[in-house]
Amino acid sequence: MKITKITWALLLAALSIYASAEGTKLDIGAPVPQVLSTYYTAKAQSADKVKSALKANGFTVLAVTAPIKGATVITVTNKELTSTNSWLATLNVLVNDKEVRIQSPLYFGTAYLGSTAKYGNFATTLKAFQAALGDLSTVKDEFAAAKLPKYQFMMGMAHVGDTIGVSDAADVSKLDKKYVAYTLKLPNGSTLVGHNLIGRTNKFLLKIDAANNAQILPYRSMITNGKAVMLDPKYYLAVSLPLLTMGDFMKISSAPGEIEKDIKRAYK
Amino acid sequence: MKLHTILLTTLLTMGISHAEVQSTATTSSLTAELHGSTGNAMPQIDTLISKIETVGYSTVAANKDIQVHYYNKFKEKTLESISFFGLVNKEALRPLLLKNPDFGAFAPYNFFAYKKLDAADDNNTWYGHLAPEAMLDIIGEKDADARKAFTDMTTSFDGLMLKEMKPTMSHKYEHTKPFPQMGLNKLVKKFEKPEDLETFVEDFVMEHDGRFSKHNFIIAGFIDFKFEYADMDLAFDKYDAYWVSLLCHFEFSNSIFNRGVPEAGMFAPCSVYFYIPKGTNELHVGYASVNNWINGLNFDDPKRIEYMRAIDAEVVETLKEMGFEVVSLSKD
Repeated sequence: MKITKITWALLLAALSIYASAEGTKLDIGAPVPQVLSTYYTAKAQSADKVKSALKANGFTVLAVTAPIKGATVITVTNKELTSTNSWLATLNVLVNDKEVRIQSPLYFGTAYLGSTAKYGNFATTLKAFQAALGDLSTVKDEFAAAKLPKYQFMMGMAHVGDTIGVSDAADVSKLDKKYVAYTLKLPNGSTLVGHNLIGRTNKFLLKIDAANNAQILPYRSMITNGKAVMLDPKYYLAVSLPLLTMGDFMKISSAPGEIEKDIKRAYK
Repeated sequence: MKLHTILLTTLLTMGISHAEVQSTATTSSLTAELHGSTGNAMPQIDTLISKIETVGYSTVAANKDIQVHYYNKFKEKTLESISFFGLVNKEALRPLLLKNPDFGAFAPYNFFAYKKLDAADDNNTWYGHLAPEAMLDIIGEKDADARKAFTDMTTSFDGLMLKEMKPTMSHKYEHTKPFPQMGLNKLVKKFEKPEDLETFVEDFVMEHDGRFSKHNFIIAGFIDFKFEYADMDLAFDKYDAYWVSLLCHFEFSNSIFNRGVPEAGMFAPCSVYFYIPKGTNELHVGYASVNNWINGLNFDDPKRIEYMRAIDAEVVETLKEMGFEVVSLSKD
């Protein structure tokens, strides 16, 4: 009897670990969660199939990039995203041999737009992702919804508003195409630019064992009235990788500077 | 005769004592001149850095507000602010790097700024960099033209700094003990020629960063000059590869800059330069030893000196782990 109880307990524990590893299935109509998943995953599919499915469900594919070996990142947009006139105008979809992983519009909407973002705002986009990719599940990367608008990695570190100026005379037509993955004109006249970083810069992902989160790239800048800015990498990398520890961050200390240098290359 | 002997003895004695005085007389050399502005001038420092492109400069890395990280990690706070900017003037550096690869030890060179927390003790922001003569002496550059070109390069930045910051005070740090005869530690590693050198370098950099990370070092910045000059369509054919990693040991830097000697930040982070001479299978590495810090700022606490040298030795050991052999080590 005792042995049976122990066996059951072990089985339940194993099942719960399995469920946690798999993540919770996304239910778009469910009540607002207190903690938001940074990404959603779908079952593994080929990049071509994902691309076609995304297009068939109303997304415009802006770029297909490969920041690191074994990772294909498809950058998409749609009307709901571009209408935010914000960093949320594009989302990245990672395709690798294990899964398909998308940036959550709920998570990044809350981070970028703060109080103006409401749960359910991006239901159309999420439904389109579900329709294109099949069931979506949460991941271990997550952060408290209430704290996300004021996110900073640690006291004294960058917030969402801490952008870095990369050009005072930015002209979309004069960008060095070698370093540009895509451009997207927003309804308010600003232009979002997706950047090709040099190969070595992208490898910061490997230093912190984050190849499975390669969808945080391409890095972006935004041009408004001739001035181009980028999110401070000390904010963007941290908010995109909420499981990052201080030790991890120290392993990639040079990455923020390298990213900034690479972004500036496009504007020279 | 007796008087003559006495006079001669007296003269000789005077001569000997004069010679003794001369032999023990100390001459001092400039390590750095830091400039000062009243209060917290960090916003003006940021403005200055945003304008360095106008004089041909760029930052390899801007490691700002490191006091935040010192506090988060060590819970120690003695500085209101301390920031480090690795500066390069790529065009001006190119002929110098081609002439002498050891210029990499200051490519970038560090411009830094700090303000102490205790305003009653010191309510000024201090900023500056090692004197060009000091950097040139550390790398052992003797050629007058190269020394002038390097000094001119730093002078152009200084002109902008003085114009933008309008400092109201300055403090000269001088050293009485000369820099070591050999200011650089140099090692070399032979490797089998790979099919793809670029991949070899990328793999090496990954291994290097990972290994130093395990030894609690941080790579605070990185610049690949071979890539940069190719990107600028400028020849740099003397080397098959040339890059510089900025090495920092966080605990070490906290133990010095955050414990009473923030001015030592002029020596940090350490520019560790790597290069492969064209057509060879030798990867060379060099960097300025902490002996330069010790002499340059007249450190005299034996425990601190011992700790500093231990960290320096750890760099050499880590490089040896990666297959490097010592060419020459700095000797005091």
